[in-house]
Amino acid sequence: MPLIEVRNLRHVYNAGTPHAVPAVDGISLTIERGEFVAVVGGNGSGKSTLAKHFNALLVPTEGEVRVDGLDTRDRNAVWEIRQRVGMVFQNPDNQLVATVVEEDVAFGPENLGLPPEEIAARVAAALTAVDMLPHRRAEPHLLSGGQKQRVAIAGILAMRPQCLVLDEATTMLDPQGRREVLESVQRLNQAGVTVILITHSMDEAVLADRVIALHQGRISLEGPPARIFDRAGELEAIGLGLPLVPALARTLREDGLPLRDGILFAEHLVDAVAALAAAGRGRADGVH
Amino acid sequence: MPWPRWRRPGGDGPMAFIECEALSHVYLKGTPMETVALREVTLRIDEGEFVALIGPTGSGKSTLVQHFNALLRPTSGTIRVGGVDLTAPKADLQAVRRQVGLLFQYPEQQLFEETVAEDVAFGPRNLGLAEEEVQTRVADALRAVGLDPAVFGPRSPFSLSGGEMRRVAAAGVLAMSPKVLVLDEPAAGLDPRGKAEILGHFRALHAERGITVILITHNMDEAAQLAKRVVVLDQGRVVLDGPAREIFARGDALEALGLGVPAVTDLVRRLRARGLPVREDALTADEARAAIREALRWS
Repeated sequence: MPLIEVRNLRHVYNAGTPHAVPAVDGISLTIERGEFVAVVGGNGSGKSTLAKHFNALLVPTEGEVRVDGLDTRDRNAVWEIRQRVGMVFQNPDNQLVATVVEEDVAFGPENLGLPPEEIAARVAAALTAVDMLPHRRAEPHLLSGGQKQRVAIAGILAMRPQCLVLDEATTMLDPQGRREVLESVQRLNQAGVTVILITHSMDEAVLADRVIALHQGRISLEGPPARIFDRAGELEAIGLGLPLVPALARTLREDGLPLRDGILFAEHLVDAVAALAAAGRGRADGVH
Repeated sequence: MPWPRWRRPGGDGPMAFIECEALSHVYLKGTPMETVALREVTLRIDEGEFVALIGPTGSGKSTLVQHFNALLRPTSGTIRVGGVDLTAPKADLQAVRRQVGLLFQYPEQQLFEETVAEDVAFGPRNLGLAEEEVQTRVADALRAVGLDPAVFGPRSPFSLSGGEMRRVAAAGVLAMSPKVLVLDEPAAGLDPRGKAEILGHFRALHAERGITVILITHNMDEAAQLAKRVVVLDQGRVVLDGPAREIFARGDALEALGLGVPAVTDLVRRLRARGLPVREDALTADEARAAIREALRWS
């Protein structure tokens, strides 16, 4: 059984009024356990609305969302669903509630009614996982944006979730904060946590196993990053561009350079160009 | 004419518009919370420049630009804007604020009027301009950020997309007809299309109307693509200042400050590390493309 199953999901804001807006308009997808999926799209593409269905913050207007087999419309299942799927939001200043980091992280497990030793162990493990243990006694408002987001992630990890949904969680961070959060997320995924990254940054989407691109509430493209980036024209049509390296590889191919497909990162392009140079040097001696 | 193209009177060389001399700023001076935000900053920005101001969080960027329109006064040192010494007791600060428009971070949070046109009109109306002039400025400012006044003017600002709201806020600053535009992270949080749109409008305002632009950004790619000059702040000091090409060629220095380098610079450095003779100072994707072809002698 997949971790999340979405079938023919529609979500209409203000349904039944003259202001009805279909934000998600017929989406079906599955998220397998342990996957790292990026959901990309421009403003108004429906990606945040979709994300909020993954832990029953929103329920379908039509269609069905199941998390670990639990129907998100079942009010009795909501608590269990939210223990399985935790969510980090955009604004680092809106998510921390306590005055000390470790108390903030302990907030969730305390609500589960766990014994104090168990809570302490979970808090320490969660803060370690995001590299924030040394700051456990810090006041959250004195932390940087990236540190705040990592504390927010730790608060979710302390609930031992199966899946972490990041809803534009890096949008308001500086480059260093963004790097810190993404590195934590990649580590967690390698440790087995399913990750769903909602973003409009293609530079972040490239880190995922699978990219789902939304446009006007529907899936317009889906596949591994290398496949998606081969369809630059379609991406541009929905307001998304390629990251520098795949874009450059594409223009160099147009120039006739025999570069392999699936170049995503700088090191791939450097390897490919270096290989050409090695081959070309021999040719340059003879032909040029 | 709401949009004079700013010219320097007579002289040949560029005219200094902002001049800071040993400018220091200390927050909460004399209290236990005392924090030195700027340390003896000496900096000159000429009319018509496009400068990127970069530096780690807390390096003093926002504090510095708030001196440019007299929202903050130096603790010590001097600052002159448009020839006016802002530390002089009788300096006309209102005149300086009209010349230097400041677009804060997430400025759409400050929209408040019922319609877009009213929101943009707020500033010029406070200047006591005739209503006709106000309306001309509103329409012109909206057009300058790519919003049709007839379509967007009557709408509620809160019915717009994030990128459109941001551009309405920018129009509010432009309607004051500033000579200098200070932009604090103007594209932060926008999607790729929204980013490209708003930055394209600022680029055009600079190119076509000669507006001086000072861009604060964490995004090195943005700085590399837009600015001709880069000023780097760290711990309240100017630590690097020069043409964008030269500054970004010093990737190690930037990384030592915890700043990134533009994606193109990163790629070029890796290629050179592998012994490929790629020119070091490429900044744009097109330049990188040309440099790689050249290095491979691929014509």
